[in-house]
Amino acid sequence: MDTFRRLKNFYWPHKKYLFGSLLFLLIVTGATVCYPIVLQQTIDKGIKGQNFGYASILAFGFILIMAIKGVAAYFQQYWGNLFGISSVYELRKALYRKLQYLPFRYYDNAHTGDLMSRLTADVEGFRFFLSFGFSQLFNFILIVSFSLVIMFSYSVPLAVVTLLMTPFLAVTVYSFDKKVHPAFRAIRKSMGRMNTRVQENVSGMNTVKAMAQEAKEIERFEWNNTDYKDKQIYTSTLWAKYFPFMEFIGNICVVVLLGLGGTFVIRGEMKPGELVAFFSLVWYIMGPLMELGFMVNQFSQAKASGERLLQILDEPIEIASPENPIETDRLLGSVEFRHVYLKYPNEESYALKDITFRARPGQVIGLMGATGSGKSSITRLIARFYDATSGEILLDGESVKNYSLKTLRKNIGFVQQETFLFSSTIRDNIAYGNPDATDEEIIDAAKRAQAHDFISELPNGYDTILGERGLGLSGGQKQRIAIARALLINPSILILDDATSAVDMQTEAKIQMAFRELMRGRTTFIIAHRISSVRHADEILVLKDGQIAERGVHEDLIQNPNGLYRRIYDIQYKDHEQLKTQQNA
Amino acid sequence: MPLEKPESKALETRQRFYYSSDRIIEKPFNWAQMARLLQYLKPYAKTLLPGAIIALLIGTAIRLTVPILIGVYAFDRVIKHQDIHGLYWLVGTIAVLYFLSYLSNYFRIRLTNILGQYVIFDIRKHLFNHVQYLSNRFFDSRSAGSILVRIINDVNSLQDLFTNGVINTLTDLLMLCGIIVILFSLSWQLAIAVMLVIPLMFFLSTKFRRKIRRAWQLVRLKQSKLNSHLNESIQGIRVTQSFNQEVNNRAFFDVVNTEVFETWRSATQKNAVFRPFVEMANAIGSAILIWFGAFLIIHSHLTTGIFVSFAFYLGMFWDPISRLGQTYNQLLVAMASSERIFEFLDERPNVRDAQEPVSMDGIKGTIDFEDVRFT
Ligand SMILES: Nc1ncnc2c1ncn2[C@@H]1O[C@H](COP(=O)(O)OP(=O)(O)O)[C@@H](O)[C@H]1O
Ligand SMILES: [Mg+2]
Repeated sequence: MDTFRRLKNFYWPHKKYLFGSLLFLLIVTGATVCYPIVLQQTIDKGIKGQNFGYASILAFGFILIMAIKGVAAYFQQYWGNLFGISSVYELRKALYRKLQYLPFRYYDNAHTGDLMSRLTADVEGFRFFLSFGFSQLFNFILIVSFSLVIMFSYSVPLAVVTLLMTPFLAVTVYSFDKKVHPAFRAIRKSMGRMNTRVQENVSGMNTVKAMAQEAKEIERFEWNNTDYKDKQIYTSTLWAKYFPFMEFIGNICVVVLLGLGGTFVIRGEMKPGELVAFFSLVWYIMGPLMELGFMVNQFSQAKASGERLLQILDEPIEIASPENPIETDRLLGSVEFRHVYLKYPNEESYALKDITFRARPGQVIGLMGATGSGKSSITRLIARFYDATSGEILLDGESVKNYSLKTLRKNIGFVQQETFLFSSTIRDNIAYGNPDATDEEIIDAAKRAQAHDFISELPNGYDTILGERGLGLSGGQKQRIAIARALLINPSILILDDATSAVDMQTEAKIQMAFRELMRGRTTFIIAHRISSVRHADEILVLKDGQIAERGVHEDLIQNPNGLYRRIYDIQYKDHEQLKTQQNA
Repeated sequence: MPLEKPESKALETRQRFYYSSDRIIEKPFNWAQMARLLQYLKPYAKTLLPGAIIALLIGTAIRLTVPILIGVYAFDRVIKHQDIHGLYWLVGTIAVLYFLSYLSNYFRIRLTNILGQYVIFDIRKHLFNHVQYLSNRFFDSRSAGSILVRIINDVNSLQDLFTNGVINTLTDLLMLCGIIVILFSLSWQLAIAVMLVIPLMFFLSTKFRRKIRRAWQLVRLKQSKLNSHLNESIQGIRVTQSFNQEVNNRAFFDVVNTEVFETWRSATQKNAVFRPFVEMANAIGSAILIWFGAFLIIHSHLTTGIFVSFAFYLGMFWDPISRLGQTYNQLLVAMASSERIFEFLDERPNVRDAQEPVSMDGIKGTIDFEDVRFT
């Protein structure tokens, strides 16, 4: 119950729909049980008593009652649904809001698939319960008690007989439910596995074809396909076993009622109309009982869904703006690290150890080192995507933690290692950080990032829609759009994390040229694997296992024959030098 | 509900993301395509199908007989003549019939589901195996997601049709015809009077339903837009935070979320409006029975037993009609899905693609998000 109490904020404001709906449900159920009564009255009074006037009154009265029932049913159903969808509207809004601010750390460990299933299936499970769960429970109580009252007033023995049949049904329902839910889960899992198999097959089709693996793939899929079919058939067997049996129990009840009731009627102890009424009333009790298992299960599923949603909502946001943040429009761009250590949450070892350096406004810092040496980590700390475990990071002499996140990130143009573009026009992608930018500003940024030429050649130019509509840009083209996106916000600090890895050499050289101009007035961090990208930097930091192994300018670093930088230099320039000597020879 | 405001002025009038949500869910009925689809039943035409149909015939026959026994026989013969002995015979007979009905239902459900699942298995196998040998060009011109959707979702959406649709339609048609024939043979005057509501019921379950169906399609479209955005915003969260776009995106989401809410509300409302009409259609039928039935009985044109039987049959009317309406919906969905499946199956392996490139529209929509990973 705790789960529902804690989610109260989302549904309780809409309680008027719930109570309104339940109120009308009372009318609907009341009207429903009128049918057997009217039938009984028609047979016992109208027909037996040869009273046509009374039968007419009954007929029109019945239409009237059903008209009321219809209107009540409208409100009951509509408001009940509205209760669910209004609550879920708020819930989704809160979840989305939360997701926007959860720190990187959270997303490092969360799978998109898992999050999506919470946001879709769990939200839906919760909605379903709100929309139907309460009213089903209420309806169950009402219709069973109304029916019992009528039954007892018509014939005590027959009512008792009906009651005696219910435990059999309850046991059957219970045992069905215990089996069917694991079976459904097995189907879902099997479907998930098949999904993964097809996904892997289709996205790895090149390899499949290259290695002539088609037959093998077919065989593997056959297994999944068979498994899914078997799981489905198993579940349907459960249905086949239980459902007709439940119906059979109800029918047996009808037979017993007919035998017993028929005897009573023949003996004159009961009126025929009352017996007929019983044939309807039986199902008003048996029907809801069959659904009882479903209801209980729905409740426990909604509870589990609610818990999974609360997990998201309860997640702490440890990276946020301080109480009284510094807000400035523009930073100068000096960056200083003082004995910075970083251990990622949930990790054993330090990703950064004792990092100390200083970049004056406008300087270019090159970061080199093997994969995993900590280059990206350094830059992530500047924008507070993570917080340092110890040590200090200062921007313009103030700790990064004293700035509002907004100020901080507004001044840092970040081109991340994995390029991500949105399902949107190229224009909107470039303007992502500043949607108010003018077309001139956008084109200017694209030109500087060497993206303007290829964009102009696209049929729709800047209006080309990227993403799932599937225009396939090359990796290098995507990177250039990402660079333009970072340039457009005109940042004081520019961070290029492997931003030109997929760009060809010639274009890279062009970007380099342009960079020198656009780096002016900005502190720039360049992470690269190519010496050529960093050789003009004011300082190059060479990282090894999270520590600064060497530092200095290009000309100094290549002087150290045993140094890491020199080794990289040798590897990258050997061919080059050899080529030169060969040409000279 | 007031919408959240974006931080950027430009976004107040412009939607910043585009999600194709034009995946067509339904297609008009097409006989040739239906025939091709039913081809998949052929391997089972001599094995599973006859068993299922026999079970169905027995079940339906029993359901049609019992109301006569409980009505006409119980009331007009047994009770009227105070025949206790006859009552026991009757009770015994009905009990046996119900037991047979139980058995036939068991076999019907089992056989139809096995049949349906085998057919689905065959279609999926056919499709997957076929796709394996298609040319590289085929794969280059499509996203992996769009191929996945056909093999998984489109085939799944045929499941309903093959497990329940075909057999239920037969049952329902049989049932309706059976009821009508019986009602007319019991009392043609009352039958005609009561039948007056059938056109009304059919109208409700087709015309009215169509409106409701459209409304729900719109909901699904908006939902798939919402899901696409959720998926993308999770994957792109690092960019969003890096560029301070949290508030702007919340404003975008708010619009989509509100669209979902609004379409859903309107669909629910249409659904709810349906209720009073269904109740009225049923009520009119019952009122005619009560009023005209009582009139006929009082004038000795009808017996109490027949009246009771009529009451039973009237209660059995709405379900088949309503289900037929649903089957029709299923068929339209199956048309769209099977068209997409056949499009792949008609693709020739390793032959150069036709001149016009295959449309890439509408590839998103209802992808299941199970096991989609972000690395
Ligand atoms: N988000 C993260 N969570 C946990 N560990 C991480 C994360 N990102 C990087 N690491 C670890 O920190 C170390 C430094 O990584 P990184 O800064 O990405 O190196 P580089 O950019 O030089 O390749 C590596 O050992 C890496 O496995
Ligand atoms: Mg890196």
